Amino acid sequence: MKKHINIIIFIILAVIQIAIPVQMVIVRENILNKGKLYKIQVRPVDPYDIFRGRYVAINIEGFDYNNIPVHKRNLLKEGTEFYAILGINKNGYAYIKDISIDKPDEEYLLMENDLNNRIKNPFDRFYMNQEIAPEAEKLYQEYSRDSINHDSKTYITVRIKEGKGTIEDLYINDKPFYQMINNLKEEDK
Amino acid sequence: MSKKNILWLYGELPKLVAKGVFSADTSNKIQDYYGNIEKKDFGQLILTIFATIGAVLIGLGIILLFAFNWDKLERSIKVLLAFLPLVISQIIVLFVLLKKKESPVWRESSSVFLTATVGASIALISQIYNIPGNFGDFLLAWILLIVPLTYLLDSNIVSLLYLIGITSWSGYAQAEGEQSLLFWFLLAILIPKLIIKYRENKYSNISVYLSWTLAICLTISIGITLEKVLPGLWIIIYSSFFTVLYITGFLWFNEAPSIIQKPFHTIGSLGIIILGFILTYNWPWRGIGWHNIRYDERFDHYAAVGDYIITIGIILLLLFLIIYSFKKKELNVLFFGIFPFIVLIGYLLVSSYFDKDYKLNSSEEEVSIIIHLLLNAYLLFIGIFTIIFGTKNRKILLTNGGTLIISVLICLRFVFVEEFFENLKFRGIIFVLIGVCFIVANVFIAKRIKRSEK
Repeated sequence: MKKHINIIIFIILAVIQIAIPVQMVIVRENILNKGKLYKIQVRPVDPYDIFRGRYVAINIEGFDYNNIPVHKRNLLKEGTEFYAILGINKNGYAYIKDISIDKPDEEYLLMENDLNNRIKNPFDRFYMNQEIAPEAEKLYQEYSRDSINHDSKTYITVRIKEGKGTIEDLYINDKPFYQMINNLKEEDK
Repeated sequence: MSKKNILWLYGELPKLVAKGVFSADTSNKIQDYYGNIEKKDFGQLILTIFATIGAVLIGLGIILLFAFNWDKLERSIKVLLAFLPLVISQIIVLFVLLKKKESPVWRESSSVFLTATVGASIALISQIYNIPGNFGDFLLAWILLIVPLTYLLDSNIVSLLYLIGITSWSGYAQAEGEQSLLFWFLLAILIPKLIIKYRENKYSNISVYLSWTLAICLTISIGITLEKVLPGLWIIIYSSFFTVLYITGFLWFNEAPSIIQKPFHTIGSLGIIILGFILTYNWPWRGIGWHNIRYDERFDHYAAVGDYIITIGIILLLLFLIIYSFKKKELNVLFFGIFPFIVLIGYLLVSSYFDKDYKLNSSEEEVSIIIHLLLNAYLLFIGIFTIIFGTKNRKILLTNGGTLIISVLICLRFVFVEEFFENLKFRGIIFVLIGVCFIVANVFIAKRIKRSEK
């Protein structure tokens, strides 16, 4: 009898063990399929020389403390979650137009102010194969610097739905990073 | 008698019977009296260790194989692959539950494999969707998903991993400014397991590993989970905590043959002595007490209630243990048991006499002199007591330990001195007086030894 109970409990546990990652997949797939597409301009990451290995660290433009209207800055305390209302600038990139503590009617992204009063970046990493990650990182740093001066178009595309966002792809000089790296490899040959 | 001695005795019995020292009947009676001693099965242990390492390597290898060509795969295939090891390991565990329940090798290795794959699948999904990492949340989900294995499969390695996991989690949670009081509930999940293991055999390898890990994790986590609103509360909590550990070890785990098998005892007494040395300096006493309560926004005053509950809880536990030792007539525990009360007196004195910015006026200086004299005298006393106890019971390690305590104390008071101990005249007189005491005591002891030899 005890054996049966143990097996039943284990099966329930196994289902939960699968359900948690499945739920993560469902939430993200839902965002990727039904979310609204935004382009977010990126900028170089500091410090540059740290080898991260499995992902490219991303720094985004237009989502800083400076973008928040001055009279609303006092709303942000250490650790506050807030709704960032998104606008699109003349180059087509998303930025924080306004913030709100209550749920707004317009398109928004759920963001958080951390304990050091810095706004947490919800799109801080882009995972890839460790063989190409260092190369992609180099390209990222190079082109994102130009991108700030509008010499290149280097950005991430994200899908946002009900405040949650997911990175879709990384574009370097207006091309998907994977294509860019393949081009480089072919040139080497 | 220790296991080793009983095993030796059992080895001798057949010889003694053969030589007619006593009958086979007596030999059986002796065996009945000491009971069955299971011999340590090293073969089994090695099998368990190798199988566990093997399981971990296979799990990691599978992940590496996926990483090969990972970028070229469709997202849906990546997601399926992320679940594959998890499902395989779950099937293996199910098989073990059905067919191999009796084999510790199968139980340990399959549950460690499942532990690895649960973590791997969550991590892989986070990578596929570039989910920003909050390591604390990840760790919490992971340990909660695997802790049932400690009961379902009676897995000891998972219990150890769980203890380490909840301790690391409490560290991350506190660093992120979240509540880490949940640690105590997470710990409570494992308590029945510990009780089961101690009832089976509290000196078995597994019980000893669990006790060491538990004692070390608690020592770390108590400090981490405190909200630290009332400054200096850690002094009371840690002194009581180490004493509770020590008394627990003394009352319930005292028959173990070596200090390696007495983790509570060892960590408790080491903790008391080291903390004692630290408290003979001024810095821990500076800016403590209720005049200095922190009103800063960063400190959560509701969470501070947790601190007070921990403090009261640990003091009640301490009082209970001391009363219990009185009832059991184990008065030796009081030599260490008195430490938190000395500290408590110090804390209350400092809190009520010192004002906010600790400038020594005359009454404050007197109070600090009283505390420092008290603590130094206590450490000296502990050192002497340990030496005497060690010599009486022929425990060289204790004798040496006691000598070490006194030597460290002398060094600290001679070299690394501060405040009123800097007074050379005063220090000189104390050193000479204590030195004379030692010589006089020696003369008396030597006389007694001579007399008893006659």
